[in-house]
Amino acid sequence: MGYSFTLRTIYPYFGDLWQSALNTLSLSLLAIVLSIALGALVALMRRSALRPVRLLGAAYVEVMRNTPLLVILYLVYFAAPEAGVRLSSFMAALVGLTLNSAGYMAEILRAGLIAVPPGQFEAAQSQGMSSAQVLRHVVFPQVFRTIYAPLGNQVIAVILASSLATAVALDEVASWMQTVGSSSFRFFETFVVAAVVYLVLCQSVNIARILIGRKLFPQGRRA
Amino acid sequence: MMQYWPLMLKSAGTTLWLSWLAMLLGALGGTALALLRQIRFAPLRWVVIGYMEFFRSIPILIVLFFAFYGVPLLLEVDISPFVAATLALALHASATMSEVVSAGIASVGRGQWEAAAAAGFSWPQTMRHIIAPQALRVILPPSVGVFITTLKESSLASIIGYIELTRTGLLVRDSTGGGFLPLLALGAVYFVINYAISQVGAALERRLHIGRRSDLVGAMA
Amino acid sequence: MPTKRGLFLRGALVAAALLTTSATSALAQSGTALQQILSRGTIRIAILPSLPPYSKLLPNGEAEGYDIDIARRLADALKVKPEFVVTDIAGRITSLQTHKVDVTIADFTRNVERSTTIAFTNPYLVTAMRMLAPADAKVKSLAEMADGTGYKIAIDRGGTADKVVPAAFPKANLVRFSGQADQMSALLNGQADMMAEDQFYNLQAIKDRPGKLKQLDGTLARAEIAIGLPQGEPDLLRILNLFVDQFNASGDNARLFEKWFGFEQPKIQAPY
Repeated sequence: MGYSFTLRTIYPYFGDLWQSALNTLSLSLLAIVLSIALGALVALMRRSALRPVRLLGAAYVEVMRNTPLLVILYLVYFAAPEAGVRLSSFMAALVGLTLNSAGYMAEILRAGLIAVPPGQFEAAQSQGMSSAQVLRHVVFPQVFRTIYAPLGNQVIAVILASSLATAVALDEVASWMQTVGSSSFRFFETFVVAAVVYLVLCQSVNIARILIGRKLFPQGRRA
Repeated sequence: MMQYWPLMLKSAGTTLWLSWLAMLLGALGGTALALLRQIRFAPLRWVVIGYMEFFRSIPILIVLFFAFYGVPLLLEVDISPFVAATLALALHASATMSEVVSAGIASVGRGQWEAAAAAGFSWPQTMRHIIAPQALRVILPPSVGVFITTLKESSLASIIGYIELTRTGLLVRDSTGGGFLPLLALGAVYFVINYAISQVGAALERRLHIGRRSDLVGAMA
Repeated sequence: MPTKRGLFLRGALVAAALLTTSATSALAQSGTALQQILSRGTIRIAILPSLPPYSKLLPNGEAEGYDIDIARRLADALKVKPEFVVTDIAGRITSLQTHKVDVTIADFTRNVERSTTIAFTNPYLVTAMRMLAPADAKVKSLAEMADGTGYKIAIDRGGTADKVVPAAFPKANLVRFSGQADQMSALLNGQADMMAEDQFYNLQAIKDRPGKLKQLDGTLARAEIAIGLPQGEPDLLRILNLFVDQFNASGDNARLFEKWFGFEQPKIQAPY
């Protein structure tokens, strides 16, 4: 047989690739932002004084981290309409990714909050700082430093995970790969192209993270 | 739907077997990579780091497609969905495991290497009798997390047509005329398996007296 | 802990052995598929068990349906055992290309483009792709849809519909799935306005869900359903064509069709 690599047959599909890449990007970005917000809420729930609230937060985290995203996406897109929640492909993918990622974000943020010893809060207040000032100048910098590296990993994880949106019929990069592969029969070429797109996206995040980390924490360990 | 339960449970066994095999191969590969990283030869280290970064930046879905459709086209060898899935999951796991094993080796202080060298131990002897037993304590808990990740990732094998748990759940849905129950059952089975594994991991951690719990959960998949 | 390590090593050895044995079995040389089927004593058949009544999955994990019965007859005729390999739309072609299966029997429409990479037998069924919509949809025929503006149409990723539907309705919004069941789910949930599928599948779907679905007037494309096989296998093609021709001529096909679809089989050679 002997396989000859040729991109020529898939040139006509490159226009669609651009649109798919934009879908991958906007889906990932929105999911990251929303899951940080939801994750922060869950992290705070886990520090609540009320036991039921704490348990609810913990249960949320366990369920999200022990269930495959693919199954969550199927549930959000195909099962939720039977409960009256009908979402488009993009919205379903966004909701699924956000819910799932929030389970991880919550733990990342919680670890950040734990890293600040409670004594510091009182110490700062005794210096005459307001609560807002304590949060801004004492708590936040330390939390940020602790969560910086895992947050970067999670951003990459969300970009990679967005590839599963193909299962709920969203046209993103992995769907492009499958559609073009099965229409042109040039599977190998489409894998290579899709892999390059993800490689560029994720490594840009990775390199940016390292460079920004060096600027922000010059004396410390590299993030 | 109820009469399909035995089929679902049987396929849960398939998923466990597939993930376990991939995890074993991934652990072996990861350990080999971590040992290669120990060698002070820059080009070798770049290759290992390149390998890790590559698999960290490619969705497992693409690795799966590549293993199932790409490899047979390119190398003209036949690969069953089972082998393709095992291979893809193992490659992915090996990249993470090399990170875990490296951290384990690094956790053992430099002084012990020097002490071992002074006592006349060779490199393999030091690794085997002094470093490995201590590193293992640090390596085991996050390995449980990698296993859970691999188990979740194995759900993607359904997309290349391998009949594991997810695919069975979908086929049950297709054959019973739709409905959300098969999907909900599917999620529940995964949760029970993974939650049980994470609890075993937590027990293991307590026995090894390691205080960190957060490594047990694996990554998003 | 010697026992633990022993277990680990043994597991790893098993894994390595599994991988090497399957990886070293090199791909069949082309032109020998028939010999391999006969000497192996089994024929590997790709099927799509999400497409009743062509085929569907039973609680015991086995498949049944029109396509499955045809596959069993073929295996009987060759005096070998059938081995079913579940696949999806894209896998129908790639599993033949990569010699993962010997034949595909899965409501498989033959066309020239596909024939550049795989081979097809003579057809055992002629059907048409038509549009399935919710029973309460306003639209009644394809003609009313004009260029498709404002319609969300569910199709198979990389299937025949992926060519036919955009050609017929260039302005339609396509929602691509990798199986009929997902399309059906989206259609029933209102996430798609219609789906393009084999009319016989549609009729069964309408029957299975009373009062929920209807088929639009007009056909999108004629479809000749045939058995797929790898290209470069003249001996296998010769035998399969003989099987199909006799299956059609003997009335076996008509009987099987009626058993599964519940009505008389339309003529296989449509009047031109």
